[in-house]
Amino acid sequence: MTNSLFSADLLPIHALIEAEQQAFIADEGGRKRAGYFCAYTPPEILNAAGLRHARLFKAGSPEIVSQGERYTQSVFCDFSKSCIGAFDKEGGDPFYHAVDKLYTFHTCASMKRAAEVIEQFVPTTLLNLPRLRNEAASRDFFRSEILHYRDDVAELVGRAVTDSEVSAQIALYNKVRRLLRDFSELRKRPNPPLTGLDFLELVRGFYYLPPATLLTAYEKLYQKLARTHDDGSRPIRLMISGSIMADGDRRLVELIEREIGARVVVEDHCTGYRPFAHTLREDGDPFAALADGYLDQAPCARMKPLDDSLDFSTGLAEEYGVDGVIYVYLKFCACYGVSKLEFLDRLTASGVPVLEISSDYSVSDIGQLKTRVEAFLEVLQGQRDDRIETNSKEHVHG
Amino acid sequence: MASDAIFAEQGLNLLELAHVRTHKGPIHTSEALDSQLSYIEETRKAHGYSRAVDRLFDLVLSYVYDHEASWQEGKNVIWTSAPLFPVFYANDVLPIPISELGRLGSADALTAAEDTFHLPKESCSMVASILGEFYLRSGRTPPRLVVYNGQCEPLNLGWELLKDQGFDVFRIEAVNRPNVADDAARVAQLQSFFIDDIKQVSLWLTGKQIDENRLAAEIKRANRIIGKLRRILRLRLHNPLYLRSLATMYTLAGLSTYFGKPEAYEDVLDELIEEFEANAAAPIPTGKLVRLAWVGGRGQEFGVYKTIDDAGGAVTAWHNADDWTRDYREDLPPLEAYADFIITGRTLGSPVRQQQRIEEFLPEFGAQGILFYGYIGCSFGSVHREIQADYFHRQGVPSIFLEGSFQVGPASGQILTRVRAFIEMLTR
Repeated sequence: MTNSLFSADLLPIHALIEAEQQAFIADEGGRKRAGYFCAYTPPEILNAAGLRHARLFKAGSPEIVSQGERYTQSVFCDFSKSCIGAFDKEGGDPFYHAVDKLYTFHTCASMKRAAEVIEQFVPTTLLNLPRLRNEAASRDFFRSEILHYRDDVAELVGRAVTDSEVSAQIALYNKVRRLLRDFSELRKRPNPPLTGLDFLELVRGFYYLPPATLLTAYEKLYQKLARTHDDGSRPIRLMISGSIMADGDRRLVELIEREIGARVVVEDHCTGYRPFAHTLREDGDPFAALADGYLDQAPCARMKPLDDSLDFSTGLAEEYGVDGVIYVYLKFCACYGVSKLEFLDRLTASGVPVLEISSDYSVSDIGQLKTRVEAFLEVLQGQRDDRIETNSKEHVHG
Repeated sequence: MASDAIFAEQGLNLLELAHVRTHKGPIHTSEALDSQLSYIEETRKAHGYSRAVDRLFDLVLSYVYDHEASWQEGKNVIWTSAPLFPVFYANDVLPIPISELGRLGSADALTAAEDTFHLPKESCSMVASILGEFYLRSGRTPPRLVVYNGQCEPLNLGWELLKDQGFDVFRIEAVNRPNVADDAARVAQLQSFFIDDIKQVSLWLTGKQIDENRLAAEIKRANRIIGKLRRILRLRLHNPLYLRSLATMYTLAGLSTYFGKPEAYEDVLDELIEEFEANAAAPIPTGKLVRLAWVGGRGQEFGVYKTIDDAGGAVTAWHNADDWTRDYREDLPPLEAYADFIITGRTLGSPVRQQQRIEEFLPEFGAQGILFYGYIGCSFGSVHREIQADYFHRQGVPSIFLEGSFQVGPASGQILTRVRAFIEMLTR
C-alpha cells in the first residue's frame, strides 16, 4: 500500500488520468472539449466525433460547495452545488473552465437546475431522459433525443457523425465495460486482489481517459491482478449503495478500507460498478442500441419503476456475497433520500444488514462517521463469527 | 349565501358595493388566523359585497369533498398532478389536483409522512405533506393517481412510495422543452411524444381512445375561460382590491381545474366580470397601492396574501402554473393543439423562457416589484428564483424571496414582516 488512496499497481493509471486532465486544461491538440454529468450520457457519441471529453464528477471540497451556494440555496445536494461552483468563473475548477460545451440529460431535478445555472457560464445543451425505462415509447423518445445530441455534437465539431463511427464506438466502449466487469469479478474472491478504492480509480479512468488508451493500460493490469493468489484472511465484505460518490469524495471508503480494514467489494452507485453491469447491442441501428442500452443499464433510483433499482441492489449484494451494505445518500439527494426506506427494507428483507448514512462534503462529522461504521462492522464481524461457529459445530456433529 | 344576505339586508346594487365595509365581526390580525380555511373565510367575509366571490369559495371548499363523494358513488375520479384537465373532462373523468392536499393537510400529515415513509428531515414540506395526507386519507379517497414525471424528484420518488399504500399510479412521461431555444423540428418531436402520452392516459382512465371531438370542445371551453380570466385581470387593474389577492389567486387556480365543475366556474367568472364592469364607473382610489407580481408556487400560507393587501399592496401580475396569457391553437387538430399548448408553454421549463413571459406582462399590470415564492426545502424553485431575481434586479425591478410551508398552518411572522417591509419600501 502506498500513501495514495489506491494500490501501487494503480499508479501508472493514476498518472495517465492526471496527464489527460492536464492536457484537457491545456487544450493540447486543439480539439473541442465536451463535458457531461451523468452516467446516462453516452460518451460513444462524443468519442465518435473526435472530441476530448470527460464526465464532470469532481466534487468533495467544501470550498467548491460554498462557491455553488452563491447561486443556490443550501437545500441543494452538495454534488449539484459543486457542479455549479466548479464552473463559476470566480474561483471554481480550471478543468471545468476548460469545457467548451456541456451536455446534460435531464436526470434528477437538482442536476437540471444546476445546468440551468451553468448555462450562464458555458454553452449547454439539455436533453430529455425518460423515466419509464421499460416502455417502448420511452425508447423511441430517448433515441430521438440521442439523435438530437448527435446533431448538436456534429455542429460543435463541424462535421457529420456517421452511423458507422457510432457503431464502432459502441463496440469499443463495450470492450471497456466488459473489462471493468472482469476487474470487478476479481472482487468476488474471498480475498480480492484489488480494493474498493482501486476500483473507484479504475472507474475514474473510464470517465477521463480515451477508451483506446484505457484498454491498453487496463488489460495489462488485469492480467497482473488476475494472477494474484487468493490467500490471506478474508476481510469483511461490504457493498456501498446510494447516491453518486464523486471523484474527490473518498472519505467513507478510505475510512472503511484504510482505517478499519474492511473491504468494499462492489458498488451500487453511478460512479462505481453500476454503469458497467450492462453491455450494449452491437448490431443494427446504433442509436436504438444506445437508447436501449442506456435505459437497460442498472438503473438509478431516478428511473421507474423503483422496483428495478431495488431488485438490482439486492441481487448485487447477493452476487458479491457481501456481509453488509452501507447505504449512503447525499443530504438533499431526493433520489436516494426519499426512497431510502424502500432500499433499507428490501435489503434487510433479503437478509443483508444495512447501515444508513446521510452524507455531505463537510469534514466535521468524520469522528461520528467512524464510530458508526466501526460499530456496524463489529456487528457484522460478530455475525460472521457466529456463522463460522455454527458451521463448525454442524460439521463436527454432521 | 353570505353575499345574498347582504344584498337583501342593505338593498345595495353592484355599483355601491365597492364602497361598503361589510365586515362586522372582530378584526383579525394575520397572525391570529391559524389555518388556510380561516383565511378563506376571512377573505370571503371581506368580499361580502360580491356574490361571485362567495360562489367561487363555495366551489373551492366543496371541490375535494364533492369529488370524494362522487368516487364513493362509483364515478371515475382521480387525483392528479398532470396538466391535463381538459383531457380528463373530455374523458368524463373527475380530476382532483394534488396541490389541493396542501390546503387540507395538517401537522398530522407531516407526522404520518415522517413515521411511515421515514423521509429525510431535510425533505421539502410539500412532498411530506402530500405523502402524509394521502396516507391518512387512504381507503376513503380515490386511489388512482395520474402524475407528471416532469415534476421534481422528491415527488417522483414519493409516488413510488404511495404504491405500497395501495395507490395505483399512472405516470405521464417527462417531456419538456429544456433549452431556451429549440428548433421547430425538435418541438414537433416533443409534441408527438406528448400526444402519445395523452392517448395512453386516456386508455388507462377509461379503457377507450380519447374522443377528439370532445377534446376539441374542451379546448374551446378552455380558450373561452382563459379569455374571461384575462378580462378579469385587466378589469381588476382599475380596482385591485375589489378582488383581493387571495381571491384572485383562487380565481386563477380555477383555470387549471375549474374546481371540478366547469359550468359553475365559468358562471362565476361571468358574474365577476359583470360585477367589475358595474363597478368600473366608481373605482376605489388606489393611487398609493403598490402593485406586485407573484412568481412561483401559489403558496398555501394565505396570510401572505392578506398581509400584502393589508399593507397597501395588491398582486396584479401572476406567474405560476395557471397560464392565462395565451390560448390553445384552434387551427390545429385537438391533440396537436393540446400538446402544442403544453410543450411551448412558458410557465414550466427553462427559467429564461419563463423570465421572458414575466417580462412581457409586467408593464401592463403595473407591477413595481416581484414576490418570488417557494416552499421550504424546495431546492428546485430556488435556482429559478436566483436567476430571475438577478435578471430583474439588473432591469431595476426589486424583488423579495418568500419561503413558505406547504401544509396548513399560520404563515410565519418573519415572512409577514418581510412582506410588509418590502411593500413599505416600494411605497416610498
